[in-house]
This record gives sequence, C-alpha cells and structure tokens, in this order.
Amino acid sequence: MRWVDLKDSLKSFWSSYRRQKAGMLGLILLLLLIFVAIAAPWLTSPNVPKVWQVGNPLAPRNAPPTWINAFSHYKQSPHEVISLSNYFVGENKSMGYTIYKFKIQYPFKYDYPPKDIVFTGLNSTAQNPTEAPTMSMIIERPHEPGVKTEEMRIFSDVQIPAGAVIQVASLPAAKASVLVWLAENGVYKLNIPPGVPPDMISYLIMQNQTLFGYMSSMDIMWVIFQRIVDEKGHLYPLHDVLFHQTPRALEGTYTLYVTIKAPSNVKVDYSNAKLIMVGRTYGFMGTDQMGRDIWADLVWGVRVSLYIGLAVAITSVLVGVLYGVTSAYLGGWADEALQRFNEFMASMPIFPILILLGMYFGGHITINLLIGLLVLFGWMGTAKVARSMALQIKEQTYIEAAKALGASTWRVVFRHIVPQLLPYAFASIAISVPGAILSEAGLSFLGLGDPTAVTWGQMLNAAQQNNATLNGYWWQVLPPGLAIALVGFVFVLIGVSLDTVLNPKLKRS
Amino acid sequence: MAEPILKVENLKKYFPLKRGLLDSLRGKPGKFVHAVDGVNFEIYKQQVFALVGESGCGKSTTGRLIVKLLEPTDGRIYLEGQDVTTITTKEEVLAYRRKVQMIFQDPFASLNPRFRIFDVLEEPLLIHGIGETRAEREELIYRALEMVKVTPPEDYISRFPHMLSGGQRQRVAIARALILNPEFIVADEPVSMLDVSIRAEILELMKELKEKMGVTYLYITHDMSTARYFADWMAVMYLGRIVEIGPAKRLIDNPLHPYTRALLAAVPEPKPERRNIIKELPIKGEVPSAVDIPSGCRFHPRCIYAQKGLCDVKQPQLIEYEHNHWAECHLVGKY
Amino acid sequence: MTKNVLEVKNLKMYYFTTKGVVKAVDDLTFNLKKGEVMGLAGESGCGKSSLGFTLMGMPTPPGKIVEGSIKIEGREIVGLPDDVLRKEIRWEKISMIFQGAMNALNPVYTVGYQMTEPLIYHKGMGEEEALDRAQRYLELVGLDPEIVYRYPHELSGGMKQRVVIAMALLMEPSVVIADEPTTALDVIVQAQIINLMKRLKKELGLSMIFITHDLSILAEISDRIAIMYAGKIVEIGDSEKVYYEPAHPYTQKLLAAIPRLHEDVDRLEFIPGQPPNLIEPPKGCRFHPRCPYVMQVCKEQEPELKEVDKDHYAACWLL
Ligand SMILES: Nc1ncnc2c1ncn2[C@@H]1O[C@H](COP(=O)(O)OP(=O)(O)O)[C@@H](O)[C@H]1O
Ligand SMILES: Nc1ncnc2c1ncn2[C@@H]1O[C@H](COP(=O)(O)OP(=O)(O)O)[C@@H](O)[C@H]1O
Ligand code: SF4
Ligand code: SF4
Ligand SMILES: [Mg+2]
Ligand SMILES: [Mg+2]
Repeated sequence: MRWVDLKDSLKSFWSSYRRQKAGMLGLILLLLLIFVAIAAPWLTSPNVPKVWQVGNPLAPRNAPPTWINAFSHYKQSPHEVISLSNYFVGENKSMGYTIYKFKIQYPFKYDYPPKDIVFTGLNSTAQNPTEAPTMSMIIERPHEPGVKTEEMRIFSDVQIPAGAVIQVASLPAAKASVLVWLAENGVYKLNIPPGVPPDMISYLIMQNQTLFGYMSSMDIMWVIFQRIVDEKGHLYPLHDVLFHQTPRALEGTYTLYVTIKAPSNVKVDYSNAKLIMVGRTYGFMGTDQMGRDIWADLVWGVRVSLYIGLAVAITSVLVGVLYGVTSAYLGGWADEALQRFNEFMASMPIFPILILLGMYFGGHITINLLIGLLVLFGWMGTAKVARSMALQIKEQTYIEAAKALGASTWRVVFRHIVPQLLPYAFASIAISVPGAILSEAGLSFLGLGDPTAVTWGQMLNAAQQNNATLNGYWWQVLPPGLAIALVGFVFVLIGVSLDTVLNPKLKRS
Repeated sequence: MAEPILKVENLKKYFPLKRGLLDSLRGKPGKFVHAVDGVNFEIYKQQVFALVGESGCGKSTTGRLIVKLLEPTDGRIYLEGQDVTTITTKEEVLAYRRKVQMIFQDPFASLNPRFRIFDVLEEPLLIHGIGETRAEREELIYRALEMVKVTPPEDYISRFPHMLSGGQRQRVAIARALILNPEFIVADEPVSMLDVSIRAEILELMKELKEKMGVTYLYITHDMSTARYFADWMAVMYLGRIVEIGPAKRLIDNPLHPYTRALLAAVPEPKPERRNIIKELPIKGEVPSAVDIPSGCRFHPRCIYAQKGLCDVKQPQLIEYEHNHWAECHLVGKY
Repeated sequence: MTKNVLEVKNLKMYYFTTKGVVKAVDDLTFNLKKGEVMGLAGESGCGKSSLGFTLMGMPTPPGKIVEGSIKIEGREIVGLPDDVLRKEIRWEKISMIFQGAMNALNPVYTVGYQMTEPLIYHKGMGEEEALDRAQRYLELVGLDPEIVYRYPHELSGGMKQRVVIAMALLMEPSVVIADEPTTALDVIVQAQIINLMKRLKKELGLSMIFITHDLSILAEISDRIAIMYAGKIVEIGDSEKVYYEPAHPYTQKLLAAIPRLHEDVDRLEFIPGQPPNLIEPPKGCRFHPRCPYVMQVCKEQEPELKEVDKDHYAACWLL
C-alpha cells in the first residue's frame, strides 16, 4: 500500500466513521481518556505512585468526598492545606533570636470540626537540637457571649526539628493548654496558686488525676471549635464540653497566630511550611484507609489501565492474526497442529490458571508480566477468525493469479492477505481492550496483580481489604468500578462502529 | 509442422478425498478424485488449442498443471522441449512463470479489490524485477493498457477494479498476463462470465495479441461455438481424459466420438422456426463422479451406442481416424 | 385471436437509491398471449430481472412502481395491498423461477419440505395433499417423486433446477417468469432444461416470459422476442422476424456477436463501449453513444416504438 492509497482509504474510512454517532461518542471519550492519561502528573501530582505505596499520613482516612456536605444535614469540615508563606506578617529580632510571625484566618462554618491541625514542612539550617526552631500557636476564637477570653493558647515553644510534623490533636501540651483555657473561662474550677507561670499550670493539670484521665480521651478539636455556653447563657459542664453529645459548633472566623522562633544564625525556610486542617471530608472523591486521594488514584489509573488494555489488545490481536494467517497459509498438517494447539489453549480455564500463576509469583506480578500472561491467553479467538478469513482469501482467484505471476509466499501473505485482515484486526483490538482491563482488574481485585501499580483493580482490592462495602465507604468502590465500566463502554462503542464501517465482508467461514 | 511449443505426456492429477479419522485408522485405502487421468496433447507456436468439456471434467486442473499452480501426480509437461515438471529451484520456476501465464475465468475475482489498476499491473514487474524505476514501470504499464485498449491509460491506472466494467476488468487481467511478454497463455474460460456482446470483443483482442506478440494459447471453454471461432485445434475432455482431438473446424463439422456429438447437439441454435421441436440429445444420465471412474470406456454408462461386453470392459485407445483427427472410442464409424 | 394473459402498459419501476434514481424499468408496454413464450433479452444490467420482480408485484427495495399498469387475466395488480398480492396473485396467478434459485435452496431442509411449506402455511393445504401435489409436479419435470425426501446437496445442478421449476408450477399459475434458468448450467443440462420447458409449454399450455442475456437460447424456445436496452424495450416482435430481419441496430449487433457453430466468420461483430448508467441515461435514443448509425436527431429525441411489420415493433429513427 502506498502512502496516497493509505491517505485515501483513511479519508474514506473517516468519512463513513464520522456518521457513526456511537463511534464518534466513543472516540471523543477515548481522546479524553488519553488526554487524562498523559496529563495525569499535572492533573494530580507526580508523586501519586509513591503515595500509593506508603499512604498519606497527613490526610484523613476513609474520608468521604467534600461534596456530600451538600446532601447532609450536618456539614463536616473539609480537608484544607494552608501554605504558611501566604500568611507571613513580619519578623523581628530580639536577644539573638529571630521571630517569624504568621496570622491565618480560618473561616469555620461547619458542624464538625477538622480532625486535626497539622504543621509540617519547615526547613532550617539548624545543626543540633538546641538550635532547632521552636513554634507557638494561639487561636483566637470568634466571639461567643459569655466567654471571657477568646484567645486560646494552644502551645508554646515546641521544638521542631527539620522535617518534623506537629499534630495538634495528639499534643499533650495543647490539651493541657485547652484545659487551662476552660478553667480560665470558668467551665470548672482549678485551684491555681497566684503567680504560677503558665507552663507550670499545664504541669499542675497533668498532676491532677481526673484531668489527666480526661486528657487522654478528650478531643481537643471539638473543644476549640465548639460553643461552651448554651442558649440560656449557662456554661456547659466540663464533662459535656470534653465529651460532647451533639454538634454545637461555634461558627465564625478563627484566627491562628503562629510564631516561629529560631536563633538568628539559623536560617529558617518556611516556603514549604503548611498548616493542614485535617478534614472529615476530602476533596472530590474522598480517601481510602491509607489517606490516599481516590481522585488522584483514579486519574493515574487511567494511565495504567489504558496501557494494559491497549498493550494486551494490540499484542494479542497481532499474535492472533499472524498465527491465524500462518495456519491458513501453511495448510495441511501444520494447520491441523496449529489449530489443535489453538483449541487446547482456548479450552484452558484462563482465570483459574492466572490465579494460580498469580499465587506462584507471590502476588507480585509486574505489569509487563501480567500483560504477557494476558496475551498468552488472549490471542486464540482472533487467530480462529483470522484463519477462517485467510482461508477464504487464500481461495480467491487473485491469490492464484499472484502465484501464477510468481509471487513469493511473503508477498502473497503480506501484500494480499494481511491487508484484508487489517480492518478486522482494528475492530477486534478495540473490542478486546475492555476484556484485558477487566482481567487485570479481576486479578488485582483478588490481590494477584502488581500491588505497586496504581490501577483500578488495585483500588478495588484496597477497598475490599478495607471492607469498604460493609463500612459504607462507597466512594472507594464506585469510582474505580464505574471507570472500568466506562472504558469498556468506550471501546465497545468504538469497536462496534469500526466493525460496521469496515465490515469485513469475508467474515467467518 | 514445426516442433510443438508445449507438449503434455500422460498427464495425471489425482486429488485425495478427505477421509474420516476412523477410516484412516482402519487402514482403508484413500480415495481420489481423478481430475486429470492421462492426458496427451501438443500445441504449436502461435496457435490456439481449445480444451472443451462440461464442468468438472478436468479442464482447469490441466491448465493449472501447465502453469505450475499444481504439481502433477504423474506425467510430463515440456515447454520448448524442456521438461518443466522437474524444475524446482526458485529461479527456474520464476523464469518459467515469465514464459507461461494464465488468464482466469472470473474478472471480478481475479483482481485484488484493494489494488488499483496500477498496482495490479505493477505486481508482475516487481516480482520479476522488470523496470528499474517507477517511471520505467509506469511506461510499461501504460503500454500494456494501450495494448488491451483500456485507453487513455491515465484515466484508469488509479481506479480500483470495482470502478471498471466486466469487460474492462478482463482486459486488465489480460494486460497483467501480457506485461511479462509470455510465450504461452492458459486462458481459462476468459469470456464465459461476460455478456455475449462483450465476448466477441475480448476474443478479438486476444486474437489480435496473438498475431502481434506471437503468443500461443490454451483456450479452456465449455462453449463449442467460441472454440470454433477462436481455436485452431480442439480437444474434448470427459472425466479427466481427452476423448477426441483434432483441427477445430473438422472436429465440429465431423465429430467422431459419441460424447462430442452429444455436446454439439446440445449447443443452442438460433433457429426460431424450430422452436417447437424437442431436440434429440444423444446421451443419457448425468456425469458420474470423478472418484469412481466407470470401467472400460468411461463414457459407457451414458453412451447410447455402448456395446455390452466391449465398452464396459475394455478401455479404448486414442486412435487417428482422419489426418490429425483422433478419437477414443471402440466404435468410431461403426455406430 | 387468443386471449392476453398479461397486459403491461407504460410500466415504470425506479430504484430510489442514495446515489440517484435508477430507471431500471422505464415505460414498458407489451402483452403476453395465452400459451405463448416471450423471450426477453439484453445485456446484464438492462433491467430484465427488475421487470420480472415488478411483474410479481414485489420490486426489490428501494424499488417502487412509479407508474403504469399490470393486468393478469384482466385483473389490475398495481396498487393491490401486499396481503392480497401474497394470497391471491403471487404463485397462484404469476410465478417466477428466480435467477440462481437452484443455489438458494436451503441445505438443511428436504426438497419436499421446501416445496410443501408455502402450500401448507400460505395456502392452507393439508400436508398429504401438498406432498402429493409436490410429487406430481416433480414427476412432471422429469424427476423421481421420491426426491421429496432428499436434501439439496444430494442433487446435481440439473436436478436442482428442475426442482425449482416444479416449485414455480405448483400453484398452476397463468404466467411463469423464468429468469436466466439455464445460465449456470452446462450445455447438455441446459439443452435438457430447454427441452423440459418446451414440453411444459406444449403439455400445460404454459405462458412464459423467458429472460436471458443469450440470444441463441432465446431462439430455441421463444414465440416472440423483446429486446431490452437500458430499461427500455427497443424491439419486440415475432421471433422469426426479430431474428431474421432485426430492425433495431442494437438487435442487429447482438445477433452478429453470436458465434455460430457451423458457420465460419472472419471477425465477430461486437458492440463497443458499455451499457449506460441508468441514473442518467443518455438523452434521446439511449443507444446512441454505441450506435454506428447515430444521427443528430438520435441525440436529441427519443424514438418511439414503431410498427415495422405486422406484429414487429422497433424504436429507432432509422425506421
Ligand atoms: N484443489 C482441488 N482439490 C480437490 N478436488 C479438486 C480440486 N480442484 C479440482 N478438483 C476436482 O477435480 C475435478 C476437475 O475439476 P476442474 O479441473 O476444475 O474442472 P473444469 O475446469 O473442467 O470444470 C472436479 O471433480 C473437481 O471437483
Ligand atoms: N435493489 C436494487 N437497488 C438499486 N439498484 C438496483 C437494484 N437491483 C438492480 N438495480 C440496478 O438496476 C439495473 C437493472 O438491474 P437488473 O434488473 O438486475 O438487470 P438484469 O437482470 O438485466 O441484469 C442495474 O443497473 C442494477 O444495478
Ligand atoms: S467406446 Fe463404446 S461406450 Fe465408449 S464412446 Fe465409444 S461406443 Fe460409446
Ligand atoms: S435511434 Fe439513432 S442512435 Fe438509436 S439506434 Fe436508431 S440510429 Fe442508432
Ligand atoms: Mg474450470
Ligand atoms: Mg438479472
């Protein structure tokens, strides 16, 4: 086939394909999928595959998507990452230290507070622990009638070695500070000898048997973000404040004052420092049990799933066509033998064998090995059809004419027979993509795929291990499931339209 | 007369019948289709030799054996004195193919529907390495198309076969065979799929090319009338054997074999005044299978002159009854 | 004067395809007398089969009867609803031996089943009566009645063609259309089938339209001959007249193109070029691009059928 002919036939192919509504829909969706696959690192983040393996400790686990707030009575705070550098308000130097100040406005309008406030990403040139920067945090709550002090000291001068993470919800100092604040506002009585420095008050609280008991089980985030005064102006009792029964969030803007203090000779780099409001809901699709972002995984899954689907489909169709044509062309005993082998392979219970192989490889098959296995068991159907088509073409007079002209076997096969099979091959590639994707998903779901690959099957496997269906974590199950269905649908649309357009007239025997 | 260009000696082709696995295991002897069963003839340079007979009698198989699309079960084929049944090397076969070409019955099937006319005609040139450059090959292709009167060539070279009429397609098929400048062409029913009005045109063309290019034809047909018109010699085949052979006109005007007579009697005659007369057909029954060949004269079950005890036991020999006119029948001149 | 069993007047049947309107049957007028065989000849694609299907009242889609009248034994069938056609006309009044029908027999049913099925289901005949009738007609066409129990692949080509002929005769129609009934057959079998047709014509007084592209076969059987070119009848008449004194240049050329078995000709005549496209047929006389006698008037005006002799008509400006 020369280039002009190719161009012509593509042109005429396109003009008839265009008229296939379903085919065009499929094509548009496929282009979209391909775009998503290519753009995955930019659409999400390049370290999704790494996060897939280790999980994201800074994200909530099993958090539903944020948009469910629109459908539920109580609103749960979403996950928010606040970049500290955007809230820098100034620095000053005193006594050999440099103090960096940050002021963050956090509008809170939910019924459930964040699960935690996490600080992370501060770098410094500190060489030893004594030089390490320290951090303090004060939260100024919105005004609540009947509350004396709105300012709530959370912690002071906590050392932060490079790369360290501070999780407020589990910080004993913070709990103590909050208990002090409650005492200051009269929620309970605390006998404090006058003139005791604030640090000592925390110490006192920890000495108190009851309070110490409360500290281990209280949820500090609730205390920070809820009302402590009821509608009648009475303070709630301490036990009720610490172990609330119903949400009674204090809505309004919270101001977070963060100060970082470091010896002046130590350089502090806060450009990556972040304050994370660990949400009860997360992003567009929620998270799984390792805090992984389902949306990001889903997007990366397009990549791997398309790669697997196309690689398996193209390779197995290619193998099938060559096998079928060879079988038909050789004829006689060779054909017989090749056909019997085909039938033998076709009669193998593929999935059980794949499961056995998966177990043999210890559940650690690599993607390419998996592709190889799927190809190994995926070429037989194409080979059968290709053989019968080739047999028909082989009997055509023009093949005999070519032989009479002296055409070599090679020429007959590749100039006369294979080009006629190409349309069929394209259609069957399109039609066999979903099968390959499903097989991968099936194996991965059973825990026999490549656990390091971000695939929809692996996502389903994770959900399965998490008992997602029992726990009602639908957002872990539906997206990958629907994605698989969608890709299947796309390729079926394309395949069926290709089949109609190319309609290999000599099909089957 | 000069040396024959093509000579066929005792040519046989048996196709094994497929038999069940059980039969092969039991060691039952395999059966064969006796498609060609001992055929002899000679064809002289620049002459047309017609091979006529009903379908299934082995005409096409004979043609295919000659162009080496099939290997004979037995017998010899000589082209210009050289035995071609023994050539096996690629070069020799390729050289043979340049000399001997074939035109097929169905012009709709003999051209690859995905090849443009240019590609169809370029294929033989590419196979045989004729024409260094595309321009040279194009030149040859144009000349071939002009020769078969598909003109102007530039209007046709980029068409696909389905954009041509049946007659034009057959011309292209002829051009494809002629572009290699062959000496011998096997034309297997080249006009039987075409309309009567077009047949004459193609036959005229083939005749003209015979004169111009000095080719020799084996003209395979079931149509006695075109054979008489086109051929110098004629052989009648029945169940894999030649039963009568001779100069075409003589054979038609004075048939010797009962089968030839039946064939001739069956040819429709454009004589409307005889339309209400039911024609006598001097033959009975139908063609038996080529697997179980009747004993003796293979025509005897259908022959109205068959003699018991002679025709059904003794195989007749091809005997020259007139100058150059041979027949294979015990009773020539006696019935 | 014998009665006309079939009267066709100004019949037009066009195929409304996406590429345009194919005027396959364009303004045909002719009659068929009782017991008469009319031969219909012309190059492939001139509309012979289309005419056959139209007369059966079932033009193949996208074909539609545009105009005209078809009367069978005086009854107009154009415009009849399909179920009436199916119940009262088709096979009962007019039947057809389809082109290539012998190869279209269903390989999985016996001959008897295929013959009796329409009788039982469409005509409400009893099973035994139907089988009996099938066997009677098989015998009539020269076959062993026991063939009803055989499958098509067990029969030779000639036998299958006889079965198909018997099927067309089963309902004793007034008119039988035979579309290329001998084309794929060997000479001897062809001659046998023609003999059979002649016998049926004599014995049953069959009125038949015999379609073929081979004029020498037509001469074997036809009382009258109609020559079709590009959807039109260009010559029609008594077969001896058409054969021996062809009036239309196209007929003359067609006849000259037939190689004769016992005559020597130096050069066969042929008609150069090819039949026109029926979507946009040539203006004037449709044959003019191929006609050796073409004149200016031929290119502009369409010639009408003219009586050249008694019962012999041709459409040509030369006449
Ligand atoms: N490739 C083949 N395999 C088996 N049988 C064949 C093959 N080719 C032809 N035959 C048989 O050989 C006989 C002669 O066939 P063929 O030469 O095609 O006849 P013709 O051309 O005279 O019609 C037929 O019975 C046919 O079925
Ligand atoms: N179903 C159809 N749709 C469109 N065109 C058709 C159809 N059947 C036949 N034709 C066209 O009508 C013309 C006459 O066809 P047909 O009646 O089969 O001719 P014939 O029997 O004389 O060979 C041809 O040009 C053919 O291409
Ligand atoms: S040998 Fe006998 S059976 Fe054969 S053709 Fe002659 S007469 Fe007939
Ligand atoms: S009308 Fe003119 S073109 Fe047509 S056939 Fe007669 S002479 Fe020829
Ligand atoms: Mg043949
Ligand atoms: Mg037809």
